[in-house]
This record gives sequence, C-alpha cells and structure tokens, in this order.
Amino acid sequence: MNIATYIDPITNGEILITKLLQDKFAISSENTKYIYEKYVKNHFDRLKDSIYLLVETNYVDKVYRDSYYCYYSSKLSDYKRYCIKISLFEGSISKSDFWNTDQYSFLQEKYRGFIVLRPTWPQIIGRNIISPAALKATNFLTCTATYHTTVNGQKFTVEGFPHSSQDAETITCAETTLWAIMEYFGNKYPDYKPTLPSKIVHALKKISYERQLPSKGLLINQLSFALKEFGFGTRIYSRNEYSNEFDNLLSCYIESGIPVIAAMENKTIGHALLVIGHEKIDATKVDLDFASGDIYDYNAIKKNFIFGDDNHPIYQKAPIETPALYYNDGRWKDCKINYFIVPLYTKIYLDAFEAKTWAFRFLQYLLKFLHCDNPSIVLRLFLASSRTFKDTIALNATMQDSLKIFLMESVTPKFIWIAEISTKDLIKQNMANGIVVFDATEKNTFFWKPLILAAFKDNVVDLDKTGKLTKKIVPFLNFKIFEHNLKMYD
Amino acid sequence: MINKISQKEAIEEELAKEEKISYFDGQEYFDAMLEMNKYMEEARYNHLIKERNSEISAAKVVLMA
Repeated sequence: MNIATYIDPITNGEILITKLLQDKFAISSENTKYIYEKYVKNHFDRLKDSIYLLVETNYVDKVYRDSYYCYYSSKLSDYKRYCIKISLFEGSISKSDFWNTDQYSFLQEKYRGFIVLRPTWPQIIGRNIISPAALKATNFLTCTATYHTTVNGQKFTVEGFPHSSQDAETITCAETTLWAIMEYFGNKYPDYKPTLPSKIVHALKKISYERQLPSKGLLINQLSFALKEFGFGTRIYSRNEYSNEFDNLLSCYIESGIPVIAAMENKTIGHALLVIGHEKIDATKVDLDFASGDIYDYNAIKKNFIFGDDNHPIYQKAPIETPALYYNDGRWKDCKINYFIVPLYTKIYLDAFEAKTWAFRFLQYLLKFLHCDNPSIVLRLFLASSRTFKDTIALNATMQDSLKIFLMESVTPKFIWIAEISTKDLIKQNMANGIVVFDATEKNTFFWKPLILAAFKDNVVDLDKTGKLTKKIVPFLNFKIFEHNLKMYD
Repeated sequence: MINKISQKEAIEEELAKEEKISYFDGQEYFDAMLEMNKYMEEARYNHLIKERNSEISAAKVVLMA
C-alpha cells in the first residue's frame, strides 16, 4: 500500500479534495460535492489565499483509529481505516523543498498546521491543529500549545489549539471538547496526558447506567467528572447562581490562559464548546465609565471571545451574551451560555469567585491604610504560574529593580493570583501602577493569609513571620502589565 | 568566598535601619482585619451555596448538539 502525496494551492483545494474523497472514501461525486460545500469549504474559506496544501492519503490518525477499533469496525458498512491528512503551508512550496536539509527551516517557517479528513461522512473534519497565523482575519489572543507532527515524512511543529468536528456516534460535542481540552493540556504540561474517545468512555463507565456507544452526549456533571478523572480539580459555574459575576468570572479564567468548557443552551439545544481566548482589547476605545472612588473589574470589559466549536471551524468570534452569533441556523440564535466548567490545577484551592472577593476587599483596606483617598482603579485579576510570572517580571524592562527584587525573591506556590492595579488612563497604555500577588493555594482567607505581596504608591506591603501586615517604603515607577497567559495574533 | 546574589534580605535590613518599615498593628487595623474576616466568612458561606447549587443543576443538563 502506498501513500499518495499532492501539492496544490488552496485555490485548487475543491478539485483536489473532492477527487480524493471519491477515490479514497468511496463517496459518489454528487455526495462529495455536497460534503465539500457543507463541511470542508467553511474551513478553507477562512484560510489565507496564499496557503498551499500538501495532501497525503492512507494516513493513520490516532483519534479516528481509536473510534474505528472501538466502534466503526463492528458495523456492517465498510468504514475505511485510513484518513486523508491536509498539511498547510503559507506560501508556495514544491516537491524539491522536501527531503532536502537546506530547505527544512524554510518549510518549518511556512508550516501552519494540518486538518485530518476521516471517512465518517458527512462529518469528515477530524483532528486539526491550525495556527491562527494561517487565518485571513485574526486580531485576537488565544491559548495555544506546540504540537509535533509529520508532513511527507518530515517532522514539523505548529502552535495552535486542537479542534475536531463531532462524528455524532463516538464523539458528540461533549466528548470533542473533552478530547480537545486534554489534547491541549497534555501537549502543554507534563502533569496531563492527551486522551482518546475510548478513554473517555472508560473514564465515565462507573457513572453510566446505560450503554455509552453510540453516544447520546454527556451531562455537564459527567464532563466535570471525566476532567477530574484526567487529573484536574474541576469547578462548575452556573449563570443562575453567579448571575452578574458569571461573565466576569469566565473572562477571568480566559485571561488566566485556562480554556473553559461552556454549556450553551436554549429550550431545545444543549451544546458544549470551548472558550479559548478573546479579541484584542483596544483600551483606547473601551468605555471605562465608572464613578470616582470605584474599583472597576477589567474582566467586565465587553469583548468578543474566541470559541472552539465542533460545529464550526476553530477560532470563532462572538460576544459571551450571544455565543451562537456565528451560527446561520435560526434555531441556535437565542442560545445562552448558562454554565461553564473550569479544568483547574488540583492545588488551586482559591477559585476565581473567592479570589475576586478577597482581592477587591483587600484593596479597599489597602487604599484606606495607605491614605489614598477616592482613587479610581481598574483592577485586572488573573491566575498565573509562578514560573511564567517570574520569568516575565525578570525580563520586564519597564519594572524597576526595587519592585522586581521583592517580586522575584518572594516565595510563591506553583500558581498565584495577580491583581494588577491601574487607572483609566494607564490601562490604555497597557501599564499598571500597583500589584497584589496572592496565594492560589490558600483557601483560608482570614487574617490577610493569602497575601504574598502588594505594591502601590511606593509601598510594598506583605506579612512578616508572625502574620503581621508590614509596610516598606520602596519607590517604584509604573510598569507594563503581564500579557503572557495568552498568545497574541495580530 | 560565598557569592550571594539575592538582595531582598539586605534591602529589608537597610529599610529597617532607615526606619522605612512599619506595621499596620494598631487597634484600627486589627478591627479592619476582623471586619474583613467577617466579610470573607459570609462570602465563603454564600459561595459554598453557589458551588453546590451549580453542581446540582448541572446534573440535569445534557450536551449533545
């Protein structure tokens, strides 16, 4: 058996892909045209016109193979075992660029990811990792991880967020979001492992009272349970319970670089999708209209979020209030996000709601203690790993050593909450004039216990060995805000 | 000779000498801390209810579309 390889510009994509669907998946020409128009074209249309496709047949895709052996192979119909892999390059490439040491870095620079087509028609879009750099329109910040893959026998890497469409039999939206979350965390952090459809079935076996395949979707609790089984300290937030805070808490987790599973529903639809980033906030155009003396939550700024939705290509934009904005089908229009599930690191004991409550209250006392009368503050709250935070601080040229030393040499847990203090004007320049760093492992919020360090108006405030609140006079200037939880694509 | 490059400890000693370190340790600050404790205690209890209710209602929502 051979691997057939083709190179064509994306503008010839339709002819190439429909031909391969006929030849390799044994789909009639009428059906391939329909499938291309309905399920593939929308993915291609979002890619730059300069994209070149390198298409390989007889590709063994680990996710589809798993579904094949645990489900499709037991059917009467002849489901193929092999997939088609479409690799994306930005700009012209040719056969001579491959298997050529001199051209490797040229190809790697142009490489923009891949899309697998699986023989589960009509829903043929399988596992795909596409770099946002391949898109015609970006201007957003998103979670990304680095993935290692091969093209024409050579190894390449791409940064992106994992995506797949559902096949509606082994993976519905619920399983697809679980798979994508684990694919993301498993490739990014050594604490987690990527998963497969059969592993999801296995993880949920002990709390399932009916057959699990074909899939009927999952309850929100089952999604949460599966994530717990895969090593997370999961939390569920309901709009009914958190009402006005719900959207801001979701935004806070996204600002923290943690993708969340959102549950979008109306009277007839219940759909799982991922929130993975947000549109770039142009603070100069944002209306930060709040009363003098108030503390404004930066996470409350209205913006489009970036979604990973298995019914659409990756990186969809929509406001949190109307998440189905990119759906053309009228049945989805009134869908709302009523729940979200956060895959937290198990030792983050202080969640976003308690962290926000503590930070806002603490800041009010701090301002009082430091005799700062009536300042209008913009507070930017997010989680960060100590490693990334300290690495960024170490290289932050705008931060003076006086403050840097206190931040760098303070003992911190693996994850910390950061509340950056800014003003209406400063935030427009992405600058802060103060910071509160507190402990994400400290659930006991009494006696100022979570505080690691606060710095504002030339004062550094921390706790001494006996837990007494201590003020040190340490002059420092304004500094650039932390923007390393999400990756920006202009 | 040991070459210590960290500086925070030395800076703190210097600040102490220059009397640039003080404590929020009067009655006013103690009362503020107790006030904050009470606020957080109530917030924590309310949060527990929200957490539980979120979990209970989420058990009824099927995601399959």
